[in-house]
Amino acid sequence: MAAFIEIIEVEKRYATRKGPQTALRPTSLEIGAGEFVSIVGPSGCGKTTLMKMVAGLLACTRGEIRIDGVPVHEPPDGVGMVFQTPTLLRWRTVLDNVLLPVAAGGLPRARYEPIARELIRLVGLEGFAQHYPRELSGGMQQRVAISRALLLEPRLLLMDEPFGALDAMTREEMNLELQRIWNERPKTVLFITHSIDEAVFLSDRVVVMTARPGAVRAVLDVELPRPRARHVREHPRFVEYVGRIRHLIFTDQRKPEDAR
Amino acid sequence: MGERLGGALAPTLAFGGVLALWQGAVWVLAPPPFILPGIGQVLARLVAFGPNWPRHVAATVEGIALGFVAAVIFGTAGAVVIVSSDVLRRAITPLLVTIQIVPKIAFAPLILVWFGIGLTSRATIAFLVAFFPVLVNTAVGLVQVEPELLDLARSIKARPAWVFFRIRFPNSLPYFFAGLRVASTLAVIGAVIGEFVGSDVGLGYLIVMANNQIDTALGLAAIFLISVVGLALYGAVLVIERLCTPWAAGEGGLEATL
Repeated sequence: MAAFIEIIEVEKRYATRKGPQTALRPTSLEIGAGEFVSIVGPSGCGKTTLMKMVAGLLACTRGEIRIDGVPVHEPPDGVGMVFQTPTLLRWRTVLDNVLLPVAAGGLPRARYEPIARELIRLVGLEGFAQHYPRELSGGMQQRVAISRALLLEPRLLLMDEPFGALDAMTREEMNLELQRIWNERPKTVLFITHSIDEAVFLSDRVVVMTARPGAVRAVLDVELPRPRARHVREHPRFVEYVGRIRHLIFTDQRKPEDAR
Repeated sequence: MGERLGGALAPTLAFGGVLALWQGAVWVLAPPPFILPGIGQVLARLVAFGPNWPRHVAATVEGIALGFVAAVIFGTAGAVVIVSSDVLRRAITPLLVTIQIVPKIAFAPLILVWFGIGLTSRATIAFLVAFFPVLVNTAVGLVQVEPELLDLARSIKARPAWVFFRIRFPNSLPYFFAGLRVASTLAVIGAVIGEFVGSDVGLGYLIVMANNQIDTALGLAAIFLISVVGLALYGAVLVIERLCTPWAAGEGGLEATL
């Protein structure tokens, strides 16, 4: 049986003034249904590029991406997205922001409003439905963005450094929250981050990428029991995973004689 | 206590200070009234001129209002055109920048030649100076949308018209109103300049007349009324802004303009 997401020899090049620039070297990856997969790597490793191609927001220069066997050429159905910034509309209340996909798609609001309210409760924002984004903290705004992404019951959740702009403590809190939400609403998650710690904490598998041009360096299975508590970060195996990923990122795979 | 100072008390003190400085200078230096009349003399002239005010105030208000409304309409329309067509944007932008650099006031005498003495000339000059802030601010507001928000819109399959009316348009409102605030003050300047250059009515005309007749108190009284008109317009824009964009509270305000 084919994997839920198939990334087959996908390559991305941009035309620049200095000629074509490779953002992502040919990359292949398979993600199973219900899997939580993180992509971790330094800036410029093409992880956001890869995610945008999965989201159908960016065309592949070469190769193909399939979701549930269907090639991706435009934004596919059943995909929820969360970005680094909450990307909320300032003039809409929390509830109306969560309902944005319904408004944009011309779907019946009455049917989705209870779902939206339930999601607002799920992410711990009960009582804030009528608040405006500016009245919320950064972490709360990102919770709204997660609710919005979950509204149409997506099969796939794409998250591009969703907690990258938060302070370290809020971030740890949000990691726990996301795990809890994912437990209650199981779905496939592709999670982009530059935090090794966050990737190991959340994921079933961690894809390690290296920069310039971007390429997959290794894929690690994270075998830590779920649900993972805060203190799992002190577990020797957790520490070992983090160490291995750090090593993969910071030691260039090219030998000096190859790098000439 | 400190907050009260930042509220109504501090500005009142600032106003009072300037007036006290003025009156103090009159008492201490005792200049002839045609150089600097006292506050009392100006007020007396204001009252004495009484029945003559309405037609001058009305003329100035007309010039400001017509110029301002035209600036809002054409500035907004221009902004929509600029952001919706790449070709037009590339064609128009250098022209706009060039015109923006030329002081519009310099056209005032020419406009008088074209449209003659009257409301058309005054309103046109007000329009010319007020137009660009509206255009530029609105265009910026329509364009300055987070790229990620546009990605999101694509991922939820929002149609372009929906993106324009539900994302770009509301997003532009705080910028639009910032432009309006600037335009409201510039329209006053434009209308008064129009009256300086050539008019037989209006507060600007009165200032020139008063100067010629060495009636400084009347000139200052006219300036006072221009300020009242300008403040009223500015205040009206602020009120409409608050009503239209309550969600943006704190983004604008007097401080943002200054």
